Amino acid sequence: MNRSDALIEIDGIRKSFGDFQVLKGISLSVQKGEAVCIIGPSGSGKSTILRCINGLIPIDEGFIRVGDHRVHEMKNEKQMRPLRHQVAMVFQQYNLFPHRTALENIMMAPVQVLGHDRAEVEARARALLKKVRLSEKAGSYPGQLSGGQQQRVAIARALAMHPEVILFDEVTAALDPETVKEVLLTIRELVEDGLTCILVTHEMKFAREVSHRVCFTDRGLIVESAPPVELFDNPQDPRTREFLGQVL
Amino acid sequence: MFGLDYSWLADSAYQQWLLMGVLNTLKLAAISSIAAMLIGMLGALGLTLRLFWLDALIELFVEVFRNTPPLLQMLFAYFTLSTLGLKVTDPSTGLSVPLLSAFACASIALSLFGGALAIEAFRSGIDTMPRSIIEAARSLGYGRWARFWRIEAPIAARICLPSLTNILTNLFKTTSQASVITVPELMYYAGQIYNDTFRTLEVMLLVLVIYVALVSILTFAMARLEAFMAFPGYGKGH
Amino acid sequence: MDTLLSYEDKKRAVLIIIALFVVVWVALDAMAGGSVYWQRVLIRLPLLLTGEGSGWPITGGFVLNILLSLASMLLATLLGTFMGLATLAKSPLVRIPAFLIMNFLRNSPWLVLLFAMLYILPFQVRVFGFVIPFPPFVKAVIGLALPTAANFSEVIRGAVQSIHSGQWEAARSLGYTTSQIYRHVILPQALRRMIPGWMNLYALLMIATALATVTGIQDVLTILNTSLAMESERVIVYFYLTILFLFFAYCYPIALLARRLERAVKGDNL
Repeated sequence: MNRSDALIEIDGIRKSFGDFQVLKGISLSVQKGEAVCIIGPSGSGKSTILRCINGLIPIDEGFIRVGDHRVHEMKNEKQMRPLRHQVAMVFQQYNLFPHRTALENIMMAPVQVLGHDRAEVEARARALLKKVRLSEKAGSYPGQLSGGQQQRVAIARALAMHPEVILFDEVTAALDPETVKEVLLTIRELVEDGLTCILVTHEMKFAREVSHRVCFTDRGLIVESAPPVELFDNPQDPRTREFLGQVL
Repeated sequence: MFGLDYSWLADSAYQQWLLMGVLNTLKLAAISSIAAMLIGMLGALGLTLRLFWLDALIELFVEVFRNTPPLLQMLFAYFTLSTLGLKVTDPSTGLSVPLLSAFACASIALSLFGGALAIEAFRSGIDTMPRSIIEAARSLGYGRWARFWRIEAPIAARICLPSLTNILTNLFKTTSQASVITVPELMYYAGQIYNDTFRTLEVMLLVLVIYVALVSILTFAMARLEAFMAFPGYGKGH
Repeated sequence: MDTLLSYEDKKRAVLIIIALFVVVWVALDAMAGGSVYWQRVLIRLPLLLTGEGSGWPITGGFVLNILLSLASMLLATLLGTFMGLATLAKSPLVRIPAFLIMNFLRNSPWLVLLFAMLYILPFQVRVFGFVIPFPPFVKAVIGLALPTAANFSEVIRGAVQSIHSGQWEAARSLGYTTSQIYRHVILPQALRRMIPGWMNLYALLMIATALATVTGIQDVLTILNTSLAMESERVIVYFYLTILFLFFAYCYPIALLARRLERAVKGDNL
């Protein structure tokens, strides 16, 4: 894996919140079209890594490159905006805008942030709703949708920005088991279409089937990183083994 | 400064007046606050008994005092209790004098006003308490009284504190209206001073600053109390 | 019988009974000779309501209180909006002075502020060669609007801050600028939450208009005082009760509506 070919490069990022050091030196590179799953115990810093990549959390030390954007050099929100047009994020709590319909939620950012033509965006939005199998819910408000439906609308909203990369932050953790399946199916299709994704997840089976690579984090460091078959069947590090023993 | 003349402030008589005014304001605020808290606790306790007729009476009391002007309440109290009210014969002059002074009437009116607000604050504090805590207490075998005293009251007190701060500052500020019924508190003496010196603007500004300073001290003290009583981690929403 | 009526129904029944009881008592008192007192109240009623003995035109009275509250609320809403947004500003140069002014106004007694306005504001202003008079009514409007604006600013700040931080995260990661986030995401949601607080402030303001009597305007309390000078002692109680009832009848429904709206908004936090 040639590092300078990678779409995303992260090197040695450290981040502390007050006295607590969450990230102790994370290094990772992601190729275009690759799906990387990050697994690990709570508090190991997984969600923080994602938020550092799209600049929601500034880092203390380290190097982050996403495409041509050098994120570690960006000092304020204004500089980060072009980055955010290329990196999209889907959250555990969906965070849909409750005062707008599903269709409007998907359309809002391309129209208001990117300034795209409204009619074109609407067509795009309807196509995306079809893709996540929610065409009939275009006029519904988030409050009227189930958790799984809201999450799929959130995915469509992220896709509407035509991002290069999508970050998924434990997107199925707040859902009940039946609805988890429908969301994972949607994500799987996106990966098969060639979308570059980084997923923080607890769904081990999903990680095994869908990702090209799995990283195990523990206490602020990436302990092991390997293709899923290798990591799940033959973990090298004892910490990985211990974690997998507990969750599998 | 700004063409304001504060030379009158050097006069010790006026200083005395201001001091007496502040002391009476503090006295009036303290008495009505304490009485209001007592009325509030009694009322909230009464509400927990869940007697529909008692609830109705308490609600009537609360709504009447919340939806009418405190100034009017004080005027009414002063008029009915003082002018029309109980009178005693003053032995030295042989004249009949009201038993209740203006100060007493203002205290009564403010206590009832504050009490109504306090009942409402305590009630919503008790209501906001999560049902699950009460269920847990019951399944642990706590009796009604023990549950109230050891679990519900401490938690409700913490929940109520912000509203209580509001009520206490409200009462403090409302004492200024007692000047209209001739209670010798700060606002009243302010009137006396500017009637004497004709420096109305200067007197009013000074009095305004004094009130703001006193209320700020009260607010600060309540905030310290809130911090002292807070459970760690409580209210960290999201 | 117990199972037919719910707890709330029984409570309401008691309140209705009390209301009826009061009506009956007033009627009985009227018939028993108190009618002479009620008659005096009724004669003065148009004066108390509109400032004119015949009830028209409106020059004062309780209607003046209402007009005062409406004008003041309008001014307070405008000022409060500015102040509220200022307290939310990122730049401390804007935020800190706004906070200080807001806290100063909130910690001032309404009566003292009213008096202060009476004497701080000139009784006329010269602008571009025009002389604009500042009658006591306008000073009362400003004097009552200031603390209300400060309170409203707090309502706005509370409503905005109650919006879940996830909304900010999502909007930021979609690339919205801060002012866009306010415009499209935060303020539309916050507006719903501000309304009950706003209504409560209006009720408070209406109650505070009773203080305007110190400015000398012909509001209901001023008229009451001048009328009382001409009445016998016993009647005065009836007058007071009537005015208390006027305020109650106006403010109680508003407070009820605000409470209902508050309950409707409560389930909002997603």
